[in-house]
Amino acid sequence: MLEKFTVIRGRAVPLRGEDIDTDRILPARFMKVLTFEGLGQYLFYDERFDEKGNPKPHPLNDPRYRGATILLVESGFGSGSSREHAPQAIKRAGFKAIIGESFAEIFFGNATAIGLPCVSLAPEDLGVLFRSVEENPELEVEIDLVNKEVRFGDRTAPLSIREEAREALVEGLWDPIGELLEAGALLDEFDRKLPYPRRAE
Amino acid sequence: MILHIIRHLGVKGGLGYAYEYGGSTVEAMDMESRMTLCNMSIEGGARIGYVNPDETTFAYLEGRPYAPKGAEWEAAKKRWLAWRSDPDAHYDDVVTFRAEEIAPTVTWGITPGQAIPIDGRIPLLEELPPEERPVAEEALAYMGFRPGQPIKGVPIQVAFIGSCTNARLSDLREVARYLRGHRVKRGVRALVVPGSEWVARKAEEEGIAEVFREAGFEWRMPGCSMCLAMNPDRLEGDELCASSSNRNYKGRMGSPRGRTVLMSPLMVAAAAVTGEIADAREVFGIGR
Repeated sequence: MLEKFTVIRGRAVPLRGEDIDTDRILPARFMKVLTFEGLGQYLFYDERFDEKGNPKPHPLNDPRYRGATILLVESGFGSGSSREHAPQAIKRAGFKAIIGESFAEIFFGNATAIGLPCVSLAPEDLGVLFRSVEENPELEVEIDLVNKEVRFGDRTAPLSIREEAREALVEGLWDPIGELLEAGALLDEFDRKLPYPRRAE
Repeated sequence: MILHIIRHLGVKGGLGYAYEYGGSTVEAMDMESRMTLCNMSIEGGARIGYVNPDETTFAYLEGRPYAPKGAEWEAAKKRWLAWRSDPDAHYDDVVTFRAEEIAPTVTWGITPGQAIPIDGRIPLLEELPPEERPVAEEALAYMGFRPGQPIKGVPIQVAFIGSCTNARLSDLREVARYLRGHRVKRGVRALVVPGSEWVARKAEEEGIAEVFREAGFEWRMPGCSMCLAMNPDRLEGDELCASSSNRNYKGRMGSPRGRTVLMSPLMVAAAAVTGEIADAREVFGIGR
């Protein structure tokens, strides 16, 4: 049974920057793995560490945000290469959800399919959230996917997310490949109609 | 062409859209050029890129491995034609470009949308919309460029013709046609990496590989190579690479300080022989 995402609660880490691409989220040289285990340590590696491996100033290296489980981003997050490794690294670094202004299409799809909700706020609400978290890293943020809102301090902001994705997350039906594989006989039936090489051959 | 489109629509322009390309220029393009256009729709933020199937599509597919044959082929063609957009289809948005106004386009920054015509200048910050300025500043610092400087004439250390996006047989044929008789500039490391095994084999058979070798390019095994630097093909330090690949993000070519300037395969060849970012039309005397 997959996890049902209804309300996600936690502290947040503010990561500013427009159009942050998947090569920054997870540099390609760390993709030489068979499973996604341990990818969390390479999250934003070249932004967080210099060429000798010494930490650079970065929100993810900032002790005030240690243990945060919600990633705050700006617009166009996750552009570039479609790589599952990018949302996997975010998830495996301990994040449960991402709040931003907008997400690259494919990144959004990849994240949703591994159970990492990406929700959008209007620029004004997002701005207030960024400033609130930067002023008070202990601030508790709540993402409510049922009532479609983000709550923090005394503020409630409406969130947006593609409705099919929201339903899938809330109902625990966010793994389409898993569902597909469970279709069994239906798959074989479809397979027989295809003009190109079939699974059985 | 696609760098020009992304430059105008932005890397977020396609969010929430699927891009369909049409018009006389796209209809006249061969399949491989259409694929480049469609592939890079992703860089423009779109979910997919699409061109209506037509005779060009069928001529490309017929007889290929896994293509339907006989009655199945006729049925498939009929089915595909039924998917063409209707002449009165409603689009959420329509943007028109004039192909004759597009100069060879190259990137100057760290996203595929930060592009200019080869004879253009890197924008001044104040010329950009306010929301684009922070990334532009970051790009200028990373690339080591000055606002307002011309891009033409910037020295390169590496030239890379490769990637699934831009190292198809037609790309290699076109470059080879103009490259004959030219030499890669001393001090420039130039690589050609065919887009697939099939492309590599065909190019060897046609003598294209030899043209590249004679010009001083390394003719390499097909694969991803410098496009994302998961093998030893990578930039060192802050080397600058003229590249036909599709992405110029920070660190994309393996060095966290490495710099990538995106351009068409023929433009990469022009950069390789001159040792600097150059206009292929001038270098190879095209259309002048």
